[in-house]
Amino acid sequence: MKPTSVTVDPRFRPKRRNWPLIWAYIIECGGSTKSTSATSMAVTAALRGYPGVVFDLDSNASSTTVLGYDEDALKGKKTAIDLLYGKATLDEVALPARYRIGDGDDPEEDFAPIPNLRVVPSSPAMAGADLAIAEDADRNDWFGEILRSYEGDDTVFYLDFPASYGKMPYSVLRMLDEDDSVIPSIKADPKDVKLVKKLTDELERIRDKNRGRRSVPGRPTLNHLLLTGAPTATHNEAAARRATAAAEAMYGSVLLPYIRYSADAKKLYEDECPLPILLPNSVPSVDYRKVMTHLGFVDLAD
Amino acid sequence: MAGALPRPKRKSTKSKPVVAPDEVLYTDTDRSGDTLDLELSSLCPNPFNKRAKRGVPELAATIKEVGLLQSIAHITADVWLKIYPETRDQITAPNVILFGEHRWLAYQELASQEAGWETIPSVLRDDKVEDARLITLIENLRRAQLSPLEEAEHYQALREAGLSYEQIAGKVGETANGAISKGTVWKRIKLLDLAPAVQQALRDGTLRVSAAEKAQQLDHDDQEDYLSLVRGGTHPAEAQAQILARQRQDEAPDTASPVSTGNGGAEPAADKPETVSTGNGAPAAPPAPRKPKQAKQPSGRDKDEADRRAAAVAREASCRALLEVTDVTDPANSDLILSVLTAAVLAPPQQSAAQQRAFTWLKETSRHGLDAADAATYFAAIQDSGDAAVQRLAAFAAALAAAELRTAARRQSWGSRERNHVRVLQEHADYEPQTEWEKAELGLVAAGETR
Repeated sequence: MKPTSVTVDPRFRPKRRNWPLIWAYIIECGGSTKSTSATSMAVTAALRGYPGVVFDLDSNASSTTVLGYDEDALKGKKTAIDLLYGKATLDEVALPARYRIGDGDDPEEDFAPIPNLRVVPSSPAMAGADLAIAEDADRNDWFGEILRSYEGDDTVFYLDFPASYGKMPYSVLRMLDEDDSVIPSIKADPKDVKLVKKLTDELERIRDKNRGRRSVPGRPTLNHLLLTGAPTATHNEAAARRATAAAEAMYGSVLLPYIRYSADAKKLYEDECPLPILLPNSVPSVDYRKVMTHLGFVDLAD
Repeated sequence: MAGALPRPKRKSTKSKPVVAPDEVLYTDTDRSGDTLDLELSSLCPNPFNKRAKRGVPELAATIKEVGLLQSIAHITADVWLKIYPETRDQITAPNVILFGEHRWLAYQELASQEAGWETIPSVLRDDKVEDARLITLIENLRRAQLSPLEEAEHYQALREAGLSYEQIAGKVGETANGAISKGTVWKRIKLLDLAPAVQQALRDGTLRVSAAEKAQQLDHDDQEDYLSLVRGGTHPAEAQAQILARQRQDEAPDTASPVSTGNGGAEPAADKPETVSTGNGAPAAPPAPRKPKQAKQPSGRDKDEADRRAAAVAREASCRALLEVTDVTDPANSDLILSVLTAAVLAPPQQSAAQQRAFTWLKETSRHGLDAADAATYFAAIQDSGDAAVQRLAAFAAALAAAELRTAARRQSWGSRERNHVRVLQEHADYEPQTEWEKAELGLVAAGETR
């Protein structure tokens, strides 16, 4: 259990609130590297000494898998859907992130823990999250309840969303303000870049809806945009170049350093291990470290 | 940073992905629940279907007119033979019909007449192979008038498959019209022990089931006499009473008659051979009228007397049925056992006669567990055995016997003890009051209203 009074760097507790920064990886675009970026950034920060929690809110449970828990490992465990129903607390649901080092299923022998990182596992039931909120309007407050009762020392909540703007994403995004960040993580691809506009429209809608509401911040802001699979000298196709140029033109003010293309990035689902641990020296791992440094998460051990 | 961490276990470094067989998409294209069009020749009948094939041409005509309203069901032979290897000789096609044999036969008939009937829609039900025997029975019970003997054969098959009377009654009762009690199942199975002539009469429909059941306590010769009496127009109950009366007459001098109260073993052989001892120590019951039957029309009293005896015989059979089907270790039966024991303890004791009778029943139902020469030795051995289940069964049997003996001996009108006893039999052994006399004793005026 974490102590109730913790000293956390005030930059992770804006406006002296009791909960950490919230980074929402969301865009209604499948395969746009939301889970890759959420897990890579969370793991990079954790390895540098910044505790955090990855919330896997997508029923495909990609980040849950990458952070060491497959369907079998989750049998009998509580998941994000229990949080949404208010049937469990964050500390009951969040599991220590880990990755596989052996063939068996022994949690001690066959898995190594990822220090400073926890994961709120998803489950197939999360596919019904929107419906659950539609059926019981009180459930709209589930995420707010978690934040208000939070007492830990995490620095960031990394939220991995499904590729949709439904009631569940709404119930979470309304709890963000301008100190937090909506981070669309998109591939350098014309389709992905084009869909960012839809996201900003959705964020405006959320803002409008919650304007004047006191208990809900209601100001989710696109503070950072992450472009992955960016062209390199050896991987350089015209569409990717044009998409990158378009992103620079439209979203230059919020663009984070690029995550360059590497075929390595495609291996993390097969190996069920986050990229910075799987291939720490591959180009995207290096770039994710640059991004985190850029965001102020320097290695605390240095 | 990450250098200090242990190396992850990798899969992506292998040149070929490892794919488990169950991860391959659609290795089983036909799955249980799918409806397939099967060639008629690819199906063979269900070896468990004992129902006689009736009305196939009529069914064919109907199908030709309105089409097949309900698909049949099948199980692939491979799956079938894994569970029922003993039926290998009867499996002659790649698929076994689970139900719908009549429809399949009808299709064959249609196919022989015209084109277009070569395949029949059938639902694959490999998932039901474990229950195939039961499904066959239930399907038959539901669909058509199985004859009582066909029904008995099905029940017998289920018994052989390891189901208890109670389980059979429960499973079949769910689907059959109304509930079926374990007693009914037991009585049906017992039909298979009847003399061949009686079975044949049952099969022909010249003998009704209730009449056939009355023959069950008789030996095969007597059954045939009984059969001729009934065929000659005698009321079954009366025919039974006649034969029993004759039996008594034949055996009275030797005391050990099947309807003796059974205390003969415990005591020196009947000092009063004329008396059928009731063993309850009451003043010797008046002897049953032993006059050879001269009068064709029995007087009112004689008729009552015959009725009384017929009822006693029927009740005794019920008692035995109850003993045979009751699992004394099942807590669900605690109430039954307790009520019977209570009745026995509250009544004046007549232990040795009851034990003797109980011993006879237990031996007849092969539930005695221990071999012993006579009842006294048997009950002593049971006491020493330390086997709680056997002891409980023996106590239950003795208490039941005590109640039955008392009821059988009662000549005046019945009291609550007797009525209670019959109620237990009605409730748990599916006993139907047999004669007008007994119904009157029970206060059941209307003959049809026995429940």
